[in-house]
Amino acid sequence: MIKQPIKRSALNFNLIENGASMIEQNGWSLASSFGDIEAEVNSSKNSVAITDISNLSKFKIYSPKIDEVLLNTGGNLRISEVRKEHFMKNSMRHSHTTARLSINELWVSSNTNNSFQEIKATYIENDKNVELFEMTSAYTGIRILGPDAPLLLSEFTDINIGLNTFKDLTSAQSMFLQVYGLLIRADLSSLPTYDLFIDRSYGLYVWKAIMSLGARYNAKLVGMECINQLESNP
Amino acid sequence: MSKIMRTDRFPTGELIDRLKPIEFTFDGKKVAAYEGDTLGSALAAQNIKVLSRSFKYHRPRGLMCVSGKCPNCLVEVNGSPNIRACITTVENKMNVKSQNRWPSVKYDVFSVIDKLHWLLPVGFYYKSFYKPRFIWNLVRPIFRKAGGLGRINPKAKSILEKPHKAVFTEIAVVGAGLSGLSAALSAAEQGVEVTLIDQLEHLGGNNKDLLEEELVRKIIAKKSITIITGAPVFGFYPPNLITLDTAEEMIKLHCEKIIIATGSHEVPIIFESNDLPGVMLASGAIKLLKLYGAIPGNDAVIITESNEGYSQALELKNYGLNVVAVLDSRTEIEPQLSKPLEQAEIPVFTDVKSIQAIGTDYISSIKFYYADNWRYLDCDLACSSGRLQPALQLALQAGCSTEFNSNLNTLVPSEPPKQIFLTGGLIGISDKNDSSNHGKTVGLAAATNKPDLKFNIKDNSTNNTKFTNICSKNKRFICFCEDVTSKDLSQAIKEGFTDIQILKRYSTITMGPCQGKMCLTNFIRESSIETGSTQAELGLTTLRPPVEPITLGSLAGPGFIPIKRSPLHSKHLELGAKMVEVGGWIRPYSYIEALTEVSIVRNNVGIIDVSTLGKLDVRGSDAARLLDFIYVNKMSNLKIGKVRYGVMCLENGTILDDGTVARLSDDRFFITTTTTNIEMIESWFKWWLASDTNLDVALVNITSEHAAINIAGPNTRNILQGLTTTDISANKFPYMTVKESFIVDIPAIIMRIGFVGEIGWEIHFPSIYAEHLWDELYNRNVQAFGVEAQRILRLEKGHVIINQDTDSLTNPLEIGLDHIIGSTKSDYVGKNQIHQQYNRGIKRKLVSFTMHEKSPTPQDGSAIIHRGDPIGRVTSARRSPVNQKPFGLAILPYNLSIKGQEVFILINEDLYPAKVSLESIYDPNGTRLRA
Repeated sequence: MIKQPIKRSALNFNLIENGASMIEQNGWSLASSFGDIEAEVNSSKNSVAITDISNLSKFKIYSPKIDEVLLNTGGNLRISEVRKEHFMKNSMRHSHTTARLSINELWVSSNTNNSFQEIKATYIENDKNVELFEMTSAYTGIRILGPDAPLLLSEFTDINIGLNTFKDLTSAQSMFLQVYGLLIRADLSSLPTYDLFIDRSYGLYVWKAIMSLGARYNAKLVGMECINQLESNP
Repeated sequence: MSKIMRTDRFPTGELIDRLKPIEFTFDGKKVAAYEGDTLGSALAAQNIKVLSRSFKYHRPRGLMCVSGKCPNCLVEVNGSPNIRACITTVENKMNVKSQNRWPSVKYDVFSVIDKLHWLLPVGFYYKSFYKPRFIWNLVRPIFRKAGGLGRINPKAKSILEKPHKAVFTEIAVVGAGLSGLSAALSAAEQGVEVTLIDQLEHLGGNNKDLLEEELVRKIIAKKSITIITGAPVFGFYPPNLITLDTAEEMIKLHCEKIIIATGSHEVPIIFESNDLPGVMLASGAIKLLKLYGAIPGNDAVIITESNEGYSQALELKNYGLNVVAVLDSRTEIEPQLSKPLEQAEIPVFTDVKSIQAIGTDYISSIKFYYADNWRYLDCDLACSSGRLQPALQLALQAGCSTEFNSNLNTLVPSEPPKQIFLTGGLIGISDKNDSSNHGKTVGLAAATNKPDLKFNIKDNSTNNTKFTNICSKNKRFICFCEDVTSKDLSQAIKEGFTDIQILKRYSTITMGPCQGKMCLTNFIRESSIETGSTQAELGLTTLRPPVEPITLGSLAGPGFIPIKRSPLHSKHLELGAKMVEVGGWIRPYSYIEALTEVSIVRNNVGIIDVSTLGKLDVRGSDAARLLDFIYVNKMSNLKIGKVRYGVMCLENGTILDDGTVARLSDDRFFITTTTTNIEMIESWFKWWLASDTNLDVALVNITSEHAAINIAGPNTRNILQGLTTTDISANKFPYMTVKESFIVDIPAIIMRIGFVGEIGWEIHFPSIYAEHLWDELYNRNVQAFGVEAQRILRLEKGHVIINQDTDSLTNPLEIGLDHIIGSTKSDYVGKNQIHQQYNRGIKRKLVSFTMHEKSPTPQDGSAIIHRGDPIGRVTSARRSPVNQKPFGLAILPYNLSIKGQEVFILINEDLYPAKVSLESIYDPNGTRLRA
């Protein structure tokens, strides 16, 4: 009998090695927690927390008329600007994060499973001059959050990560630990929150490097439960 | 606790804690110290004067600058060489050793070289010891052994790499002396965020006084000023980045503006035997007394050429030293300078012509020429005073020019670029009020973007006289690091080396550990006098980072090295694969044994992880047109559901890359490339796309989006059919076709292609399912095979690997791809050159070869010899499991690329015969491949 396919991030094995309790949700093998959810929430609020967000659906949208596409779907964005949309569907909280990467390119990440259809419906149905590329597998996502998150980030990027310079709902494409990545700041529960997306093939290398650097700031690995708690208590 | 007798210390000593005695060893002997001492101050307190031996002549050397600039106190500490004793804080039980001596620093056998100096003039290695030729081979190891500073101990514990941190600031002020403090406060008062940096642990510079202490208090209280002390700034990098090395981390400080207030420091005055232990900088002697209560001597002679020497003489007297005399090279001095010294009963001699320090291992007297007589003064300390050199390295790295400054009698930085500001002793300001006011002005200018604020600097110029030679036999050192004397410099100039850059390289002045901090000014001055050019005409040598020594560990940082892993990486580890690094990826070399894996693929079925293949998703109504332009072969006539092997070339007709192109729909293509080239190919595509913005094409690199597994072997069809509802029979899924389908419910692009010469499919599917699909295949008793088995298999089939079997000059005709050139295409990249080559005929060709089974297997790259001449090379070679013979691919001249042609391959200095074959040794007709 053929088993249902299970989706795994590039960090899956390492999460297990680090003591994650894994669960299956929406076809994904996810880290629920690392043993002490309260401590994880505490770290997020007082120092810095690191979590795997590779399960987010990710898309790239290309169009020669990106301005029009944006205007038709919620308002224009300048390059490096980000917008976040939340909505309830089937009693689940959905959120889409859209970042403008260049004059003709958008990035969309989403926490829903069937987001391809949603994104397609939103962007393509209205405009045939739009190409939608599914990139969920292509990128490892690492979330770094907490008051010390900028300090940790300053150790592996030359972007000005100052809270007043790299504001909430801003993105940047740069080199992180010598690897190209996309960094999006989208604060969670008023905590500075940075989502770093890097090519999946470098995922484990970057993850291990961040954990190593994070030791200076008592960074803690956190799971899905911690993030859910923070999201539900804005 | 040791019972060592402690020598008396002076009652001063701001930094030491006399209630906390500690000890360390120096060359095996215990040395007493206090917490807060440096190695240098503790050794001085114990009257240990000789700390090292000089680089070339092995002359005894002792403390001189006491500020970490000169080479005289370089020692080995706990196995680490070249540590400056004068600025290294003592830790209990430190193991300190002197360097560059044998058997001891007190009795060094190599000091005989000092007597043989006539054999070793400046640039001697260009002029001597080369005839007869064997002499250089004899003496070179002796020079290597005798020279050098310190030895690396391979067993010593390495210092961990430091983290790097990026920090941003509006205005950085480098240097926290009077002018730097004033500038920082002035800028901060305008509401600007300021970062104030100093290499010392405290603010206020080297000569703190009440004014500076008041400023320090205000600065500490100012919230918009971030203070970083104990942080030498070691480099400036455009546009406005400076780098700081702290004890915990290396900071990359990105600045909008930089105020450089690095000041100036004392450098030695040149006179005979000015390198003897006991000859110090006056500021160094005062520092030892003031900060550590260490007494560097009891009877001091001050040698000066400026007013500073007089105040320093009084200061030393006030500490309790016997100041024997002040020797001034100037003819006239102001009465108000000499009067206090008269009252203190310190004799002053002006218009002193020549000076010589006398002593063997340390100074015992000074000989000087005064009023037409030679005179002698007994002393155990001679303090060189008042010759200043600006700390201009950072300013020059930042792009400043230089100009002559009469206050310092040397070149100072000038004309700073935009966003750079200069102040203080660095530009020759010596008056305290001027320092403070100029600093304020500069701080205001930087904060308010008004760089044109004017300021008048008082002229405090002094005479620039030089002590003349007493005797040509005695050495007058300019460069203490490299043992270069003024005679050496004079000789080099006489030999014609008059350009400052060449003179530096020939004489090696400024090229030692101090990097010019102790000798640059003297070098320029003396060169100016010798050549007759002004200092401004001579200019300075180029000053590069690092300004201060920095460990490789600091520069390297945490040492993270990017490496790629396939989505199936953990599966390979689970199966116990031997992993290797190939093209930036970690890949499985083999799981059991390569030849066994080859056999399994040939007789049953195997799977290999080919996720590392580059992949592009190309879409749009003009996608086919773009591909026609980029590929040599035609792609626009590729039918939907078909796959074609494609080659891309550069404009010069040489091969860039190869891969497959699969047409998924009218306007969508799925492209594979070689593993290592994908980023370059993606850029290549985008480059050509940018040349015509009207093209309707979108492309994305989906290398990591898709994992890929190649399943191959005669039983593949049976296995695969059990995992998909798609009909994969030969009729329904023929060779070189593609389908989008599902395998174990996973959406996949499945291509019926092969690289290893067996029936096979390449399955591309979302990486998030990689482990799932691998498990499904593996659990059907399919053996995994690694890259080595793959190499053997493809070589048996004669398939080419770009950049392995080709080089940067190979064109498609040379590897037998004439048939794919789409001659009906109007244009494609490289067309002209390829057609010219076609018309001219090729000169070399890639062919296969076989050897006798008893021959050893050649290495990739082995030379091919014909009639005694090297005429080609082996590109890939292995031993065939089919017939046990070495075989492979090689590049040969076209006229020798004939079936049956014999050539010879050079293996381990012997020649072995090989025969050219024009077909693969396995399945030459492709029957198995196309089954």
